[in-house]
Amino acid sequence: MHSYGLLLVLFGIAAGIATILYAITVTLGPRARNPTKDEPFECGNIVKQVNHRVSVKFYIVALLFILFDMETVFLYPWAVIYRDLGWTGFWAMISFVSVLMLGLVYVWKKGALDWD
Amino acid sequence: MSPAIPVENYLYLAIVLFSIGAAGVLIRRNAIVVFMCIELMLNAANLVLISFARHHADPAGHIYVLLVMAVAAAEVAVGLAIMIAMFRERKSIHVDDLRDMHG
Amino acid sequence: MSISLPALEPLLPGLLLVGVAILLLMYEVFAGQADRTYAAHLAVVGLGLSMFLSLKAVGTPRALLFGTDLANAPLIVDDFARVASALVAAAGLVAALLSPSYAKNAGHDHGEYYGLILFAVVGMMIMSMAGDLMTFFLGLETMSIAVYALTGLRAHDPRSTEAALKYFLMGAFATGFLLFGIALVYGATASVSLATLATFKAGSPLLTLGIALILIGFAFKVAAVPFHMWAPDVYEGAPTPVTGFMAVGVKAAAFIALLRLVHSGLGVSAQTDSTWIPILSALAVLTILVGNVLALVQQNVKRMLAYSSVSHAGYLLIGVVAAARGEASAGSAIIFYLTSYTFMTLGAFGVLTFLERKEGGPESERYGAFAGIGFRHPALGMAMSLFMVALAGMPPTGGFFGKLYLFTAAIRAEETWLALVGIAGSLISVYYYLRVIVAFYMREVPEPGPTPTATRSAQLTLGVALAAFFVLQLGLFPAPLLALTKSAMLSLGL
Repeated sequence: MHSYGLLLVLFGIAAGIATILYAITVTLGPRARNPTKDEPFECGNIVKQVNHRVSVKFYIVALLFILFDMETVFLYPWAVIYRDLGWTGFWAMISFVSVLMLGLVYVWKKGALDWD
Repeated sequence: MSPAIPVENYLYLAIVLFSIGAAGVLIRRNAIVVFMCIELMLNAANLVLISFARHHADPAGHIYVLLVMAVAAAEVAVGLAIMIAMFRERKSIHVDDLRDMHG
Repeated sequence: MSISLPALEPLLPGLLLVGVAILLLMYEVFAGQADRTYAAHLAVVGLGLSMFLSLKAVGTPRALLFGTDLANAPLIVDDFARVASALVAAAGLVAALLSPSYAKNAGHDHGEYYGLILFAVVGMMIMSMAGDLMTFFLGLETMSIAVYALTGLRAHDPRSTEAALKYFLMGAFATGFLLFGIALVYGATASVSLATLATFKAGSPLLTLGIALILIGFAFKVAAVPFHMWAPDVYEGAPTPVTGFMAVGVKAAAFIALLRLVHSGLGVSAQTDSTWIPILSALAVLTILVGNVLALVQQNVKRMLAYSSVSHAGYLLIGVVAAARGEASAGSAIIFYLTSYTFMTLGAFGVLTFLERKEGGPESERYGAFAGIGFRHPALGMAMSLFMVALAGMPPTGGFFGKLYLFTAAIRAEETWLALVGIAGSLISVYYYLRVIVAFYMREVPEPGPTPTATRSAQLTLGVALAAFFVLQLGLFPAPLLALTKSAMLSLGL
């Protein structure tokens, strides 16, 4: 518990210093606002609007990625104990992966993966 | 090695997370944020499952978490697809704009 | 634990549907034709065959899948599950028959539509077989995700996408409650199995909170008051055949699962009595009263049917209370009611599908839009009158016997006051159901202006005719179905 206490003190000091420095600049610093200063600075790049449109294809591909990516989560526990599961586990996983495969075939043929 | 954190603490954390999620669903107006709050509720449930799986020394609980995550991913896919359709239709996903039907 | 192929035989009705659904998807992308009526036919054949297989197996011993006893088998195929599977397959079948003409009119004639119906039916079947809460959750999600997509299928109609988003957000919210409840029950009992849950005594706050959250999740899914807010908008916005499917299929599956939870999980013991009966009773009363009163004031027939479906959930909750009291006849009354409700509601939505105009819109669904239909289309008028009479619970229809069995069970369980509330609700409902018949027959056709013309479609006609036939059949000869529901409840150990 003792060492955690020290950690807490560290956090406290860090937060305190940050607050003090911030307070000093806010109260003492001169303020001259102009539009150029208010722009976000990004190494000389022209900053784009944050809410610019992304191609809708992007969302579809991203959604499909999440789906297929998540399904592989079942492969990890299976891989750890597949020797113990024997043929039952083998055929169970074969049927699982084949259904997933058919899903991929469907998506592919449907044209959801074509970018253009 | 420090003594293990009791399972109750995880439970309380999960209940807090769940409550934040449920409150968010009721308060927030952006459909995506509402959906994120729902995901928070699901993850609170996952936290309960995983900590009690450890507490009961029952491996089944770990598998339940994986099942929930896979199901949640499928739900996300359908939900976001619906939101995209909605946004194309009326350029907004605010739940306050869902006013075509009433009575 | 080894799984050989013959061991999967009890699952054949479900596996068949999965096979047909995948076939439909593959056919759609490899050899799709512009007219998807063939997909509807394939789905109907698959659902019919699956229904036949389920019913054929009734009476054979219980099969436990992937487990050795009730405490560790995730899937329990007993007569209860078989009868329930046949019921949800029948709901899917009629819904598939109602769909082709509507889909063509509304411009969402996709082969995937029928695949989604099949997947939803499979999810409902899994819900009825679930021996543990996690399997139940998986079945529920399989069903729900398919139905979310079905609701939003008319992607170019703002009402449809709005309904889909509302349904999705409320459904996912309910899922959150349900899942957190399941997790707490797992924490309290170290298992998600219903049989293990039954061995626990009430009292642990963890268990009580868990079951309460699960019941809230159920209440959302069946649109019980005060968790009903989403129902009218979603029912109005969804494509009409999907609304019918949602109103009957989702409700039937949820009540079937609730019945198994009450009987096998809560153990019909002191535990249910003391804690849950007052809450369930309050839900039932609120649902009946609010559902009926709000149905009274609706001007849109689809919305009226939505609120009427809320009130029917209330009548069914009376049955659940009686079942929780240990009344043996309550379970079979619930299944009987669900069956007759399935046919009369799908029939009513089928008639609405007939009259749906291409331009659609809420105006075509108001009472006034149906003026004089009974004279222009006598068969449709007769059918709609039959379904409305059945929904109101009058003889000679299945709706009458459904209510009779349900309220009798409540009286036997010494819940007479609940039966009285149910009867009062039914009396209120007579007004708004008759109003539809009045609109069909008693109003003159407005001379100028458009009059809706009925769509001609063999599938739609067959669907409505089937629904009408079963509504009458159950009203005149209720005994065969009653025997079936009794054997279903016997398999739960009652």
